[in-house]
Amino acid sequence: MLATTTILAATMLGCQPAGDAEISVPDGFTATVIHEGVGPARHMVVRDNGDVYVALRQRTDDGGIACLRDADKDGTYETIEYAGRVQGTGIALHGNWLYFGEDFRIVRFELPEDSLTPVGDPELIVSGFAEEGQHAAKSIDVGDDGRLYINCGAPANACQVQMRTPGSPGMDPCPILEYAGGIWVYDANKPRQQHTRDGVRYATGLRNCVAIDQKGDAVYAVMHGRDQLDSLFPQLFTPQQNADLPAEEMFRLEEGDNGGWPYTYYDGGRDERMLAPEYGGDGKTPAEKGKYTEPIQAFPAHWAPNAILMYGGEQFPEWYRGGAFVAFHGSWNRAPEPQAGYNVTFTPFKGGKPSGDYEVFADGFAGSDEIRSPRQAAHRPMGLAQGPDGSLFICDSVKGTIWRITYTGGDE
Amino acid sequence: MRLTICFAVTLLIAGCGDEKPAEPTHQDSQKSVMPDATAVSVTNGQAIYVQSCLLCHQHDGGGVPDMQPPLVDSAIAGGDADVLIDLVLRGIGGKPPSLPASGKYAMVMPGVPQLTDQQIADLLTYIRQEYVQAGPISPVEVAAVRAKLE
Ligand code: HEC
Repeated sequence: MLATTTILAATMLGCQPAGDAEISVPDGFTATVIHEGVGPARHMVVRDNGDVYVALRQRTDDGGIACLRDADKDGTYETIEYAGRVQGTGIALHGNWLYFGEDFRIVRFELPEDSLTPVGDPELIVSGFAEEGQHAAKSIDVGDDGRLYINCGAPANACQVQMRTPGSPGMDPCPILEYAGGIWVYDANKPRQQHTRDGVRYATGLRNCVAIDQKGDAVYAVMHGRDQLDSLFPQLFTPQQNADLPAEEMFRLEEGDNGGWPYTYYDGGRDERMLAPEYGGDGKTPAEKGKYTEPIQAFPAHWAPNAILMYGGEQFPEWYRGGAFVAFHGSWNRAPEPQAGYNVTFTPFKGGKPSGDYEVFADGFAGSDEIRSPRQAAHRPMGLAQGPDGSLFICDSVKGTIWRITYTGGDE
Repeated sequence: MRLTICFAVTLLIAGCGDEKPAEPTHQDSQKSVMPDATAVSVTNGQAIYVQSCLLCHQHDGGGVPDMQPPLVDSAIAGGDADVLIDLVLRGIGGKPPSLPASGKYAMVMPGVPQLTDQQIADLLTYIRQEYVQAGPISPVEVAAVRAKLE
């Protein structure tokens, strides 16, 4: 039997679908809605004391950080407050500081020991990011090493001379890689740093890794692969091939690694890195071997990985410990095929590497079997966090519904 | 096949009480009363939409939240023809001559100057009929806007 939780499914244009959407989780787990909707959510974190912080895409009059507290620890978060004149994607905790990643600057707020809400004005930590459209969302993580990791998505699909234009070749070398298309690392405690002057490019060749988690001596990241293979190169790729290419790649990144964007893409069917058509590829020519970092797992195309959480808790059974949960926002670009993703997967790990294929862990967010456009999805998984007791939190970008997943299956 | 899907989805949307009028917008029902030239334009325009615009603005013109705006009921799509032609030729949010981005969407729009005047007229005639119920656009109008850009 699947443990389920009933959620109110708001669909596109605010009308109710035939039935309520439910999310499913594996046997032994229970999913509880802790808030029906804090507002369109991006990333989230949970503090040691259990308080939950959610970054909002658009700030309310009271602020762009939703702060939730369950004072009596009965599982109901009776207090919710909004704070911070910020809006965006990234959010991270480090000591008594709450870091926030807006699209073009990273700030932090003081978060006193017993305070639910951050206090005072935001302190500027890093600014100077290029203000271009596409992939501007800054996801952030303060690593185990106390440094601030920032995803700087590339403002491009494949670094073409003419942006998203059929047949246009790729720029070589791609100038974007000097300031974006990678993960940069900064001093977490130094105010007013300038991108790229004061930071270090930790890893490059990454189109857009909204999903990052620094653990131990690596950054685990899942990349949004490029799109439009068929519409940009119709003589080389069919719409069907575009629906299945390229794979969304999961990386274990060490300093200096290169994920191969924009020169390559990963073909999950062939299990091989391929030369991108903008750089002379034809869908059949592999990329130069050994030049780029290999993915540690390949996910289906266009699922849009928006959060990764390396599970460090003990509440879940042994199988889950040290493994990776990934939240997939769901595709918008698989037409004429139905859209896909809209789930949370789990990949078991051993010794820093996946020890098996991914499995869908939580599903049913979209609330409908066939999604032809993201607007039809009742919920889209967006953020992941781990509670102090090892519970898993998931938030969605449509309404900001928050689920808490606990293991209730008793002893293993 | 694709037409059938679009139609079914249009009906679905119309059937769940959104603000869009529930009148059928499917072209077949209007073809018979349309002047032939416009009917041909719409058919050709739809094929161009599928190839060049559908990815972003979606199969039903509804767009993608925070990424691409809907064309359904878009004031721009249904508004001044010269403004619409200019936008489609130049695109939005890229390098000049691209128009500046509105800042509301996490995506940019490529212009399609490589399409012929006739193709752009067909495409926009299709969009205006299908999504905003506005009048057709002629290749002469497209040529005039293009001349001003060059
Ligand atoms: C790569 C994605 C993409 C493609 C392909 C694309 N568009 Fe767009 N389009 C956008 C984005 C993003 C905007 C909004 C930009 C802004 O306002 O900053 C937009 C805006 C528009 C608008 C204005 C809508 C409004 O009400 O604001 C029209 C009309 C339009 N597009 C038509 C087209 C047509 C016609 C095509 C096919 C030739 C096309 N688009 C292809 C991304 C795209």
